[in-house]
Amino acid sequence: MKYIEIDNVELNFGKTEILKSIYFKAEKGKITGILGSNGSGKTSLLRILFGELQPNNKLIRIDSKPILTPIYKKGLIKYLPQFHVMPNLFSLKKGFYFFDVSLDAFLNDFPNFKDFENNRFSEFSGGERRVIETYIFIKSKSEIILLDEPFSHLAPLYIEKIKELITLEKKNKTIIITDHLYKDILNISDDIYLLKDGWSKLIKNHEDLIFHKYTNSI
Amino acid sequence: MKKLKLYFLFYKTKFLFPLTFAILTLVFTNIMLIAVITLLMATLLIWFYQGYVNDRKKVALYLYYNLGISTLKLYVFLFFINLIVLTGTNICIK
Repeated sequence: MKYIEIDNVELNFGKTEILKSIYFKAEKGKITGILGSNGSGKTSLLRILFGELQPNNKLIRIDSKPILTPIYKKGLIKYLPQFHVMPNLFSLKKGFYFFDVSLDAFLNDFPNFKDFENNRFSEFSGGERRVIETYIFIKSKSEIILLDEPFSHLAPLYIEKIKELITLEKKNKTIIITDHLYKDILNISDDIYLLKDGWSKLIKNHEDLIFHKYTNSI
Repeated sequence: MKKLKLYFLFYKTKFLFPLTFAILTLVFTNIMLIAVITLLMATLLIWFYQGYVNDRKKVALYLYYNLGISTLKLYVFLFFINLIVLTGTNICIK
């Protein structure tokens, strides 16, 4: 797989138009960032790409071939939503086992978790769970990784570590990321799209974000 | 094997309500067909309750989606395993 495109997305929740006309392309070897204010449809767009949310209209293509079935059913994609994915009763070991990710490698990257490998997910704090889940999703073997606010609730050192890992993993994957910590997104993304008023805009330079009134300063 | 474990993980969280209803129906009516219909209805009921009332954001299902398993597959598995248990119960009763 070289790239994924999504086109002609139209999504309404009741009478509210969330997405009107979206074009979006994410390439392998690149990190594609999505920015947008609250309620602009970032999460909905990721859910549509994942295949869990059915909009009124959409066209998804992988390497120019239209994809008609939800991508998640093909096992090509992982989507880290804003909430916790791992059940509370799962142990750390079990979480890594199901996603086929090396726990040893994780403990090397995050040695402070070494004494807790038998802990259940419910025994970790929200931030720690977020780190673990983000790591598992980034390192999973799927070709397309969607990360919805991976930096939320994380300490600055963890954010830096996760950014390092994402940058390292992008060689073999298509990574799409969204977060309100836009400086971190700008920092690691190769391509940036801004969602505004149901439209997507490819951001060519950071000043465009000020022009489109996403922020006052960079 | 991993997928089967995941299906059973889901089964463990949802089997009780539809199976109990179906077994009670079987015990009181002694008619397998009515028990199977009850099982089907209870399975559909729990599916709609989860989807539209209890877990509208599908928080509990993202684990399965991320591992390539759809909601339909999970509930079909739930129904058929419960059907096997119900059939076994019917044989034991008779």
